[in-house]
Amino acid sequence: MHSPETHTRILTQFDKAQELETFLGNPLNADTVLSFEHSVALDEQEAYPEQCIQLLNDWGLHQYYIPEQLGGKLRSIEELFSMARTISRRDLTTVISHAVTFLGAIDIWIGGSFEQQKALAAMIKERKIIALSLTEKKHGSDLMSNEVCAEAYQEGYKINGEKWLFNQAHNSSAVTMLVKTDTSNTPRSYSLFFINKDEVATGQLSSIGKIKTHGVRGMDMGGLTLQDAILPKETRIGKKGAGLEIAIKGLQVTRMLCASFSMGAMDTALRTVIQFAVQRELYGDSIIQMPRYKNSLVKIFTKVLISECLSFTSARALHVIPKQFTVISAIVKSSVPVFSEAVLQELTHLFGARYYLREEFNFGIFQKVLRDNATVSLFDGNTAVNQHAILLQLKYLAYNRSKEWNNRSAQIIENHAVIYDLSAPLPSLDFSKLDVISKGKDDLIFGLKMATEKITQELEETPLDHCLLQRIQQCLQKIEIKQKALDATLLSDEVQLGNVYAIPALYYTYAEQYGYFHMAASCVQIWHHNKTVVHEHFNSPVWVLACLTFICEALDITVNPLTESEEDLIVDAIVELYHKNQLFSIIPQSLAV
Amino acid sequence: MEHQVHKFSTEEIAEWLTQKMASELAISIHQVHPDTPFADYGLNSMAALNITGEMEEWIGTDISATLLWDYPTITSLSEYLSKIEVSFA
Repeated sequence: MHSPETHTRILTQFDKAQELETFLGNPLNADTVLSFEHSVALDEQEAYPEQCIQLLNDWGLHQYYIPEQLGGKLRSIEELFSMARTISRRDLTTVISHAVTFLGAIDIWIGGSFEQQKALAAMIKERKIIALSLTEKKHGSDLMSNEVCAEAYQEGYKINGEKWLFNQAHNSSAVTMLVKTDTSNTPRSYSLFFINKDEVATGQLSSIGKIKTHGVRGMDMGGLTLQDAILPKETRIGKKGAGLEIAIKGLQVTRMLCASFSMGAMDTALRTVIQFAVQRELYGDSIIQMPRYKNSLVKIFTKVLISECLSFTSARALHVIPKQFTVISAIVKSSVPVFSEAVLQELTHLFGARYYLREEFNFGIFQKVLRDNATVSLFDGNTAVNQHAILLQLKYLAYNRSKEWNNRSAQIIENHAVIYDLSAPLPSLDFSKLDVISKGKDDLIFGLKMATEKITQELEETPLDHCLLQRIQQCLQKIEIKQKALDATLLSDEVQLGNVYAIPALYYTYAEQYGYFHMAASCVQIWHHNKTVVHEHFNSPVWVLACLTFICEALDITVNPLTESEEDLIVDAIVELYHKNQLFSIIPQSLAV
Repeated sequence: MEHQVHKFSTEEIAEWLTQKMASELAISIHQVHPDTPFADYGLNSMAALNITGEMEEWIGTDISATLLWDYPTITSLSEYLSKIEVSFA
């Protein structure tokens, strides 16, 4: 058995999050700035969390948005993910408002000139807020119909139009903005501009005011109107016409942060309900011991664990296989926020009437999280946009797999060893290697077949958990049959991709299925590679079986449900983590007291 | 020893692309015209990029994923690709 202290020393990627957790203090303590009481009060007033943002800046979080080579501290997406998760469990309004600077900056890190990068790094170090503006009111996700237009003017550009619904529209010092730069309507008709508001003449750029939202009410959601706004050509990011390409690459990176927002939200919602459940007695006993209650908790926690495994895998994959991140990031973004919405909704049934109350039980934090979290699936391409990004590539992915499935390369095996082993050192981040499509490559899907092999190996080598391992093996074999069936469908002539509008709804379910294959691979591989560093409750693969059982059900595969004693083991782990004040995670992470 | 060659002629590449487009869109090769932009066939601008993966394999060298955005017809793309030099060991 390993103590949590030993584990955190091995997995250094969580050290900064642990440090930040301690710095921020216990959110149940009303004396801390990022307390639930304070967050709920600000939300009730629809007030911007200025003091909370200030606190994060004082700690130095903004430094983690700047790559190390530009004098910042951004070296690991895993590290940034875990820090954002730490803040997200306290207040989504704060973390999203703060992290928007990373969204605004990423396109310059990917496609900006060295001069632009240096200037931006200096602005972020001065704690300036950078926004990202892609969408317009009339066109939503259909970026190629956008109308805000930049026409050549003297040595630069003159821009007119209205950009709508983006975060920090008013408070930001600068905005990275997608604008049409020619009259045609092709993917090369758009460019990105870095607009420093101080450098635009008075009257040429104006805020449309705060747009009220259902959740994250304190957030500065809004838009900007540009009226003959004159910009020098140096404000353009990359080549003329490179805007859409850079923006697509940038969103892949920021989708990892969306997953961290959802993970934080799930933690607080689950923790609040467990706090209630362990105290609550009905019909003469604790409600947490009721079979129906336990069964629901297991289903909820399973989604938390799948989300975590998928997030860990993806964050590491960005370092190892960035060219394939177009598929991986879309799977994370179309899954984790959706799971978190399901988790929160299912928790409402366990929390009873209290879920609906705005002041009861920890200052009414549950209802705030429920509303706040709903916005995450809309960010950085909504669920349909991300499923679309996957399904467009499925046929080519299947084609490549048909050649390689039984003869995978040594490179894939090597990549798996680094991605799935959480203690393996990662290569440096290199945003220049991101691409708009993966060209049929997806190393992680091979993790599914190799997971079956790992389990077979475990069955031969270990005397422990034979029955569990056999059931895991059966689940994996059934999932692989499903995956092969999907490949056969994809390779048939039935699947033809026309224009976006006409894609059959069925194809979106193919994308969803593909995501589940990734999830199954992640859960098994993360367990197999990290048995010595995970929390003691996760040494046994019973949680892996729970995850695979859920995945099988989602894929319409018939498998035996968990037994009551298996469910008890998982509920015991949840309650133990709660009592020991640990994050709901397979990795031991202590929470502030 | 390594030497550089132009692996395929413009005509060979145009023929490959025509067949690829016809198969992708489930239409006859006679319905594919060399100077019609790929987008005019209703082929999704992102989906079209997948062709670059297969092209890489066929030609034997790395190709930018967004090449079809920069050379949006069979004529322009095949002319560009015929000038690419491929290394052979």
